[in-house]
Formats: sequence, C-alpha cells, structure tokens
Amino acid sequence: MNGDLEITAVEMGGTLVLRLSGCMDAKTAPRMLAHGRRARDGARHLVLNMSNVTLIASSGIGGLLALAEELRQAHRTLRIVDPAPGVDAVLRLLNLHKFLPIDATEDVALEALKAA
Amino acid sequence: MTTDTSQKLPAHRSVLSIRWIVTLAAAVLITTALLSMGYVSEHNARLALTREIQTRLLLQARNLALASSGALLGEFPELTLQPIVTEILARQPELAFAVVLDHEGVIQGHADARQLGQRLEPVAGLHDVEPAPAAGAGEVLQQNGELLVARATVRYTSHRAIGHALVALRRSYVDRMVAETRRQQALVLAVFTLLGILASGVLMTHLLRPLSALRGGLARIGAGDLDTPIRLRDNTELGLLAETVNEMAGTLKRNQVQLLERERLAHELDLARQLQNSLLPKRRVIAGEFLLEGNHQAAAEVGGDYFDILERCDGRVGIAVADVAGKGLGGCLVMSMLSALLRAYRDAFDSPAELLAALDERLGESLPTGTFVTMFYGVLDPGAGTMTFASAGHNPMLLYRCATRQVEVLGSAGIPLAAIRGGTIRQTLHNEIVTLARGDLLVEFTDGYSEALDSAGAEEFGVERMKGVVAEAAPNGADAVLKALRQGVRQWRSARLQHDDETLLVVSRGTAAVPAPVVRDTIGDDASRALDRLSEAERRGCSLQLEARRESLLSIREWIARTPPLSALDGPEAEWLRSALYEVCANVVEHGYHEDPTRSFELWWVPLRADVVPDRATSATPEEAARALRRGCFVVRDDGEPFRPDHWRASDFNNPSIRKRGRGIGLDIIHLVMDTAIYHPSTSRGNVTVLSFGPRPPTSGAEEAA
Repeated sequence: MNGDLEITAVEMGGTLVLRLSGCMDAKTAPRMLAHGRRARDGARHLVLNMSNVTLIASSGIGGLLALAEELRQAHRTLRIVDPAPGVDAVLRLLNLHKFLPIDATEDVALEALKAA
Repeated sequence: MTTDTSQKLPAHRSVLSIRWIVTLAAAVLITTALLSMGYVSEHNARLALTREIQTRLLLQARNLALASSGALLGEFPELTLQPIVTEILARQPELAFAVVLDHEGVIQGHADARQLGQRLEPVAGLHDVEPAPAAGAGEVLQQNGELLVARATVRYTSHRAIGHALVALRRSYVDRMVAETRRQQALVLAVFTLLGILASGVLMTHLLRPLSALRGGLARIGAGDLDTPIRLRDNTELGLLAETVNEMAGTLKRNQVQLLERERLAHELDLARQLQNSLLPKRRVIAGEFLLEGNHQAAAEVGGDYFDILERCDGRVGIAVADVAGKGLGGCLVMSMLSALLRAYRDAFDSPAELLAALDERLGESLPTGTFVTMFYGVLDPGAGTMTFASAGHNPMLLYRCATRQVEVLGSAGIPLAAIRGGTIRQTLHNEIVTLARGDLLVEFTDGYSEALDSAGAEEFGVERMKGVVAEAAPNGADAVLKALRQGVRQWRSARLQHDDETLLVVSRGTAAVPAPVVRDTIGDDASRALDRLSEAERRGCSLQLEARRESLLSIREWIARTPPLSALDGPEAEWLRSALYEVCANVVEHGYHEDPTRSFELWWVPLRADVVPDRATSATPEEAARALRRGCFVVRDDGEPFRPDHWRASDFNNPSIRKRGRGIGLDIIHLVMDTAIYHPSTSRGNVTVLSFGPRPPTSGAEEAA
C-alpha cells in the first residue's frame, strides 16, 4: 500500500462517477475535491465509488463533507458507493450517513439520484 | 586559674591596656603623694635645721663669751682669745668668722692676728631673726642674705658687760644641709615610685589575667561553641562574671536546642505538607459522563488524609479515600507508601476487596503495630455507569439519587488495613456494586468532616447533617456539593480551629442541568503517571517506529495486523482503532514535526500485565482481543515541537458551516474511539500521549450533539 489516490472519472447519465482507489488523506483529498467540483461546476450529481479506498483520514472525511455541502448548495447530490470497511466504519462512527448517503452499487446510487 | 591566649584581637582594633592604664595611674598617684610629702617634709626639715643651727650658733657665741670673760680682764686678752677663736674656726669650717670685742668694740680675739686692735666693721643688712630662738640675756641672733650672726655679751662676775663675742655662720651652709636632705628624699621618692609602679604592674597583671580567659570564652560562644565552659578559678568579680557567662552559655544552648527542634518540626511539617500535596490529585477528572473531583483541607498539624483518582488501563477509574492513623511526617510516609502500592496494584486487581486485602498484607509487613489505615476504594466503570467498592473501616459513602432526591448511606463492614495482621481482613471485606443514573452523585469523606466539633466542642457535624447538605446541593453538581460541605463544616466549627484534615471526594454523573463533561482528555493529568506508563511500555510493550511523514503512518495497519491480540480484532472496532491511532500519529507528524521525514517517533501497545500470555494472545478470539484492547493502553512518545491540543467538542455536523469547513474531525475520531486521550507535552522524555480504547456508541456522536 502506498499513499497515492487513483481517481477514475466516468460520466453516467448526467452524473459524474469518480472511482477512487488508494488513500484519502491530507495529501490526496484536495485532488479528490478538485475532481468532485467538476460535478458542481457542470451542474451534475456526484457518485463516489469508494470500494477500493484503503484508508480515509479525517482530512478525507472533511473533504467529503465539504464537497457534499457545496453540491447541496448547488442543488446537487453526492452519494457514496460501496465504501471499504475502513471507510464505512469511520463514516458510521461519526454518524455521517445522513449527510453522505451510502449505496451498495453504482447502479443503486444512480437509481436513487434519478428518483430524487 | 588557666588562661587562654589563643584568641587574638582583631588586627584593626587598637586596645588600651587596663594593666598599663592602672599602672600609670598608680605611678602618677604615688609620685604626687611622695612629692607632696617631700615638700612638707623638706619645709619642716628646713625649719628644724635652721632652728637647730641658730640655737647651736647662739650657744657657740655664749661659750665664746664665757671663755672670753677672764681674758678680757687680763693684760693681753688677744693672746688668750686668738688661739681660742682659731681653734673654733678650725673645728667648724662652716663658720664665717668668730670675733671677740672688748667693751669699746675693739677686736680682741680674731683668727687673723692682723685684725686685732681694729674695730670690727659692722656687717651690712643685719636684722633680727624672727622668730628668735630661745636666747639668753644679752644674746642676739641676726642675719642678712649671706650670714647668720649670733652675738653674746661677755660679762664679768658682777654681770657687768665687758665685751661681746660674735660667731657668724654662712647661710649657704644651711642651704647645703637642706639640699642634702632633699637629695636623700628624692632618692627615697624615686625608689618608692619605682617600687609602686612595679607593684601596680604585677598586681594588675595578676588581677586582670582572667580577662584573657573570659575573652576567649566569649569569643568561643560568639563562634557557636556553647559546650566548652570558661574554666576560671578566681575569687574576684571576674570569677563571678565567668560563672555568669557559663550560665548564659548553658541557657543559650538550651534555647538553641529548643529553637533547632522547633525548626526541625517546622521543616518536617513543611515536608509532610509537600509530600501530602504531591500525592493528592491536582485537578478534577472527567471520565465519560462522570466528573470526579476531590478536595483536601489540611489541618494546622498535617493529618494523614489521602485521596486519589487512578486511571486504569481498561478505561475504568480507581477511587481511593483513606485516613492514616498518625499525623505529621510519619503519617505522610505511610500515605506515600499507600500511594505507591495503589499505583502498583490499580491494574492488577479488578476487585476492590482484593486490592484492599493486598494492601493490608503489604502494609501489615511494614507498619509498626498500632498503626492502621481506614480506606475506601472503588472502581468506577464509566461505560457501565457502575461503581464497585469496598471499605476497610472507612466512613460510609453518601449516595444522592437524582430520581428520588434522597441521600442513601452505603456502609461497609471491613476492618481497617493493618489493624489485625494475618489476613483477617479478607473475612470482612465485601465488594458492593452501585449503579449510578444520570444526576446521581456519590460523596466519600474522612472523619475530619463527620467528626468536626461545633464551637462549643460538644457536638459533631455528623453524617445526618452531611446528608442534608448533599441533598440540597447535589442538583447543582459536584462543585456545588464540595462547596456546600466545606462551607457547612466551616460554619459548624465557627471559631473553633480545624483539628483534623478534611477530605472529600465526589463522583457525579452528568444531568441535563449539569451537562456531561465534553472535555475527555484530562484523566491521569499527572505527567509522572504518563512517564510511568511510558516506562512500562518500554519494558513490555509492543512498539512501532514511525517516521514523521504521512506515508509512514500506513504501517500502523500492518503493525496492528501482526501485534497480538490486536491482530485478532475484527469488525468496526478494528477499523476505528486503526483510524484513531492514525489520527493521533498524524497530529504528531503535522504539528510536532511539521512533516520532517528525517525524524521519527514511537507508538506502543501496552497490554494489561495479566493479559500478557503469548499463547493465549496469539490464539485470541475477536471477543478476547476486544476485552484485552479495553484493558491495555497505547503510548505515543515524540521529541517534536510541543503543540497545544485543541479542546475537543463534538462536531455538530447538522451545522452546514461545520460540514463545509471540514476540519477538526480527527479529534472527533480520537475521542469517539478512545475512552481516554491524554497529551503530556514537554515531559522529561519528550511529549507523551496515553490512550485507552473505549469507543462510544456511534449514536452518541452527531445526534447527541444535535
């Protein structure tokens, strides 16, 4: 494991899907934030697939919250897909599922966005 | 009589010697006296000598006149008188002349034959001597500046005057005689003066010799030697003075001993106070929803009260209140021993009764018979909200129930520690468990409170009054109870002095009115405890060396995976532990080392001593690992720049601005995962952080804050 974060961006039905792989910490979180803001700037929803995030630090959580809030203010939504156990445990510890909705798959997330 | 000449006078000080002063004064007095006496004596001697000479001169003139009577009636009187006169002058050379005159004033007898037949030239300036000596008829004594002349009339048988006989004496002869007398007197005066001076010197030397011994003795006393008396056998006032000085030295020594004793006692008292203060917790402690706060008021004579709040590896908190029978330094030393034993045993015994029994065994081995300790010991489980306690002859505990607003008295039947040796205490100690609901409050105290006498010394403050005070103040929290009890007992004593230490320990669980504490990083606020924990970690902990860069922190996961029993953890707790340790170490990397990759720090896992069983650890189940995790602790030590940890308050994620800010979440993770998290900056071993695992239920985070 190294400290990098790989980000793959996919457009799916007007929604920006970012597939993240690696660590989300103070070093990599700004890059994730920059990619995510593309959704806000393009008036699209954002889905973060975090199944391959091996570690999320508090700065990564802070980045997710900040991004979700920015999207909310732009009347857009951020959903998280299949977070790795480490990510899921921390999100639940902090009781953040209310602000960062979690879905099992990208399809479920996209369906939820369509239904919203 | 002995003298001490070893004491030298200061070089700068000139001293007038009494010996020489007295000797000089004696010489002056003797000389004056002798001179006065000599003057009077000379005057009298001169008078007597002059009178004697005058009488003798008159007698010679009378004899010459008698001898000349017949001759002057003869044919050739000069032939008879000239040899007589010559012989007289030869016998008495001091005479100026001797002359015999006939009735016509012609010289008939003279030592110089050429003067015979001549008239005698009158001697100029003669006048009668006053007062005249006893002279016969026709006898006259006259004098001038040079001569003393006696004249006697030469008579025939019919008493007819037929001539005169004159004998003259040079007055210089008288002066010579007087001068001779004066010389003799001067000689006597000089001899006596010399003898007087010598006698004075010798006498004063003899009399003043004790002064050296006195001065030496006083100098010794001045230098602090009060044990060596002045040895002086002298019957004068100086001997009396020496005795007085010796008595004074004795009194000074006794006073000095008393003063030293008082100073020693004051120093001992000061040491006892310092020791007692060093053993008592300095600040209140917060554990979960519980606030633990004590107060100790020392009496003038330091008592043996002791209380302590002890952080345990399993996140529970030990609470001790004790009263050592004995005051002063002795009581404090027992207290110190008790404190050391408690620290050694706090994690070794889950059962308060067992811990007290172990203390009884150890103290029984060390304390002299008759010395005992009453003690309350409880273990607070902040998570379960229970306290298990036992009491070794200590005062009962007061329990305020918020629901009923009633105060219960929880007693215990144990006997004091070390009161009866041989393990008898085990038969009397029993663990009691009390569950504390929110708003409930426990008060443990020493007899300084319950037995405080009123101003008349007739009645004790008593447990019933304490119950009343607690019931009234408890709804306002632990601080209010402490304050009310202190004030209550002070008013009860009124003007009466405090005779015993007064110690209180209050454990309260937060209520809506008195919120649960939000700062959770104060347990074990004593840096020395953190250093103890660090030493323990270095002895038997499992360590991980971390470089001060973020990438290095990824190794925490691998370290947990290979460190039993942590490796057996699974589920969310394992992830929470990884996340919390990562955040703690990230703080060190970021704030302590500013991400300087050349520097490093250490992370330890320290299991509870009883849990260090390798075979069991390696094969531990997840449940066993979780239990072991809660009983052990983590220690982080770094040499980075000390930073001021933020006071944590749970982030309110319902607040959009908090979410948008996205900061401070690391502390949320640490404090939600760790039951205690204490950062001790700048200890003698660097910065030390002590953590114990004890996650709060996830629902207690944002929702509770909301």
